Amino acid sequence: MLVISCIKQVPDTTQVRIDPVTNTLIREGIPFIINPYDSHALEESLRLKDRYGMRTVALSMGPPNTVATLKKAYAIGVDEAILLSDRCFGGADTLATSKVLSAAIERLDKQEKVGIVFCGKQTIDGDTAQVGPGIASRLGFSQLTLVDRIESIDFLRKRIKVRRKLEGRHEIVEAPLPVMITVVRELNRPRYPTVPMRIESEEKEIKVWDNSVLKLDAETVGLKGSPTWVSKIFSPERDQGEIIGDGINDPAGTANLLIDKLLSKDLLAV
Amino acid sequence: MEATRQIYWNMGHGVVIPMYILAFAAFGVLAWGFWQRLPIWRQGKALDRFDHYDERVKRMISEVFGQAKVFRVTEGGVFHSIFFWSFLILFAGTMLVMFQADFFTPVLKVNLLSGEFYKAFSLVLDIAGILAIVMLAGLFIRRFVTRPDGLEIVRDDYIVLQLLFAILITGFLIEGARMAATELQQNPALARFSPGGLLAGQLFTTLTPGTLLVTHKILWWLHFVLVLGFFCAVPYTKLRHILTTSANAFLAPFEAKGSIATINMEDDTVEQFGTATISDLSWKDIFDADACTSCKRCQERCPAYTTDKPLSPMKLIKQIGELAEGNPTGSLSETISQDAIWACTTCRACQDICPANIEHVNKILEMRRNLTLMEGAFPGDEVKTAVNNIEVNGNPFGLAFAARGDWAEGLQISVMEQDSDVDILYFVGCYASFDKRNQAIARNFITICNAAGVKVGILGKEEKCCGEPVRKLGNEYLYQMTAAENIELIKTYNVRKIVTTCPHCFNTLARDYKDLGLDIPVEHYTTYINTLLENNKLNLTPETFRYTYHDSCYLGRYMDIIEQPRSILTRAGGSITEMDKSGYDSFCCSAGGGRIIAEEKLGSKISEARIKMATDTGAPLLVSNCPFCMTMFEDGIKTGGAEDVLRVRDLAEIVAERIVA
Repeated sequence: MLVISCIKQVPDTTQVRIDPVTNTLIREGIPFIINPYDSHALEESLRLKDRYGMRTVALSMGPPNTVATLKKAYAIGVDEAILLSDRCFGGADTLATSKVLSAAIERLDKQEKVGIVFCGKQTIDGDTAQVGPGIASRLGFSQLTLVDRIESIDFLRKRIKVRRKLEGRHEIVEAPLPVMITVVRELNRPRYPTVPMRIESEEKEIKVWDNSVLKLDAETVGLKGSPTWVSKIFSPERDQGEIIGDGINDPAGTANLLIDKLLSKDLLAV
Repeated sequence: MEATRQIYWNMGHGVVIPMYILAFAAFGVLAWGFWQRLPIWRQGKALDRFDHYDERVKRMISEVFGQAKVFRVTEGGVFHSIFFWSFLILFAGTMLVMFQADFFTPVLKVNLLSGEFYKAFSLVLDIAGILAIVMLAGLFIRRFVTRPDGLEIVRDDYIVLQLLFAILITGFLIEGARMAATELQQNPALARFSPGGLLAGQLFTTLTPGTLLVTHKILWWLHFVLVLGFFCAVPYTKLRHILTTSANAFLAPFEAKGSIATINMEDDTVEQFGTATISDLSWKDIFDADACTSCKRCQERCPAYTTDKPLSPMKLIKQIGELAEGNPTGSLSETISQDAIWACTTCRACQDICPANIEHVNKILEMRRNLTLMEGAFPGDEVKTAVNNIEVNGNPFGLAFAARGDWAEGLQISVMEQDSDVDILYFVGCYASFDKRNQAIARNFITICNAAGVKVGILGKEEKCCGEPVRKLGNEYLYQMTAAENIELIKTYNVRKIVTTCPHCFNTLARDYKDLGLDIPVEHYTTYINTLLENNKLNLTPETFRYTYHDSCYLGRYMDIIEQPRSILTRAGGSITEMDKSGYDSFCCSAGGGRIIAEEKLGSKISEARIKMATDTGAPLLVSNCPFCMTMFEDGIKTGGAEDVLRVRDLAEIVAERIVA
């Protein structure tokens, strides 16, 4: 049984600023990282490999420089890393992205049955949380989102029980395999690559599947296949609030200013 | 009557043969004891410690006979050194008697031990014997009565102290018995040159001549057997340190202090990085365990141990010895515990004080290398995050690398990318680049350079973490990756000199980067400013202030820069009150060894302990020279509740305020 993790290379958005003139992301000086939620998806696939000996594949759709992120997947132990990259895949929204990923998963499924597909609950650059569910819908897999613990897997009955992390409560649910699971950070702590693994990963080949392999209708993928398009990106103006004091050079004084302010607005009981 | 004595008096020359046979047998036991240790040491990897042969011999002679390292700590050290010298004199005296009896007299037909020389010989040996007994008594009281904290009592201590006592006492008793029968009656004037024997002789004055002779014989054999026992005990008790610790003075490294072996990451044949078990250590690392005398000096100076963390450098060395002997395939990190291995700040206080030249720090680093490189382990999740940040953004904070040079906005400074024709390249480091408090140090340093007419360049957003914290945490892979990028970059510019404000960057660029191909003079800003002052490139208006000064580990113990910063501060008008621990004995701030990016979860806070030492001086100002120390002290002052009595400032800030316009 195959375990797949879908990972995305994203700009380290803690750094991302928006150019006020062009309304686009300032990419200069921003490093790329693996989408943090996806690193937990990747880690969980490796844990299943460690425990049950399942074969793991890391899938990523993106431009050719995404190999850097897939190398890291090799360095922590995936059996195979595949990059889905083609000019016609570019500019995709979540619908078109899930189409390409699903096609790749179906292709893999022909060689070895896919049991579980792990995705991060969302990406830090798009924040849509739609690609995982999109894959599940397209493939007809069970769909378990926001999972923070795998309770059990019953390979005979082909069922999986997981815990979902919802606001203020947990939910334990069971579903038949194959399944698409989106994961939250609490699920696990991603491992750090050891040096022997890093060295080994240097020699491993990253398969690149373009559209000549997946053979999708070019009209249904990439920008052309994307019904959503971004009309504008902007930083919201702050229409309320103000910056008081100088918290760096006078933290104590600033705290006093804040207290006075809160008191004056009757927001703080004395 | 001639001043001399008859050797083998009352014993006759008949004892010579059995005496030598027994003596050689004892030496045989000694040699056999060490021979048996050989396979234990040999479990380690090869390491050449026989280069610089002449210098090594010189160092050994000076350290062993000079006892300077032992003497450095008065408590215990004084007793040991005086005892050592006294015992050495007694040993040399006995050797002289041996040569006289069995070589000078029968072969050369001369008697050295006569006349004035004999008188002096006798007096010196007796005084040495008395001193040795007094010192031994001191050591005995220290070990069993006053017993300072951390001093353990083990089987060896009973054996060694009692044996030495018995040897010295029986020595005087034989002399006393002989003198009671001879000198005291025939030549009392000569007896005055043997004060110890004279005193001991009083015990025997009432014995009949016959009983006296028998008593003397018994005492002679007893003394002799005890001495044989001493030789036999050497390899099996702490007495082994006579040879192993002396050998370690020879075997100590010749590399610059703090040198770390640079792993060849390209070498495909390497399967194990760092040390997991005994066989990954060098033979010297295992030998070190035999050179340790448990003097606990390392332990009582260890910032981790003294703040209740599970690391004792002494215990760690012992544990290596125990594993090597009893369980060589056992896991070092499990035996020593990961918490202990991660607790080290690599402050080098242990290694600096060790009278046995044991190399603690690199052993810990090698164990960390195993944990990090082979197991992907970290002391905590916050460290993993910071390490990932260094890998991705070139700084532990995870801040945008493009903003690295932002602190310099508006300052008179060149960014190398645009203008690399500069006097010095200032390697800013992560803390001075991004941390608000430490940016002030960077800005003040630029002010100083501007005033001295020095044109400064920085790498700006091209600069990356020097790699020091990750290297000290064992992550040689990431260190070499980030170091290689820095080196390649620096080499593209025509850099004449690099100056750093961070002692960690300083050590790394000046020493560690050499192994990776960077050979440009690197200086810390303290010595650089000192030179500017000495050459009148920079002038200060002194303004009096009282302060205490913190020697950062990587400036003081690692780089021997102790006087220059104080000299600058004196010029600036400062009057210093030294802390309890300063100079080579300085106490770490807690941030070394990569601990700057780790939370201090175990024991009490090291920074608070240091702040306490600073407030105890009564000085209102603590001057530091390191961004890591600055960060820890700002923190320690707040958490330690010292905000009203102490401020911490960097040396650059003090200097910049006093520049003559």
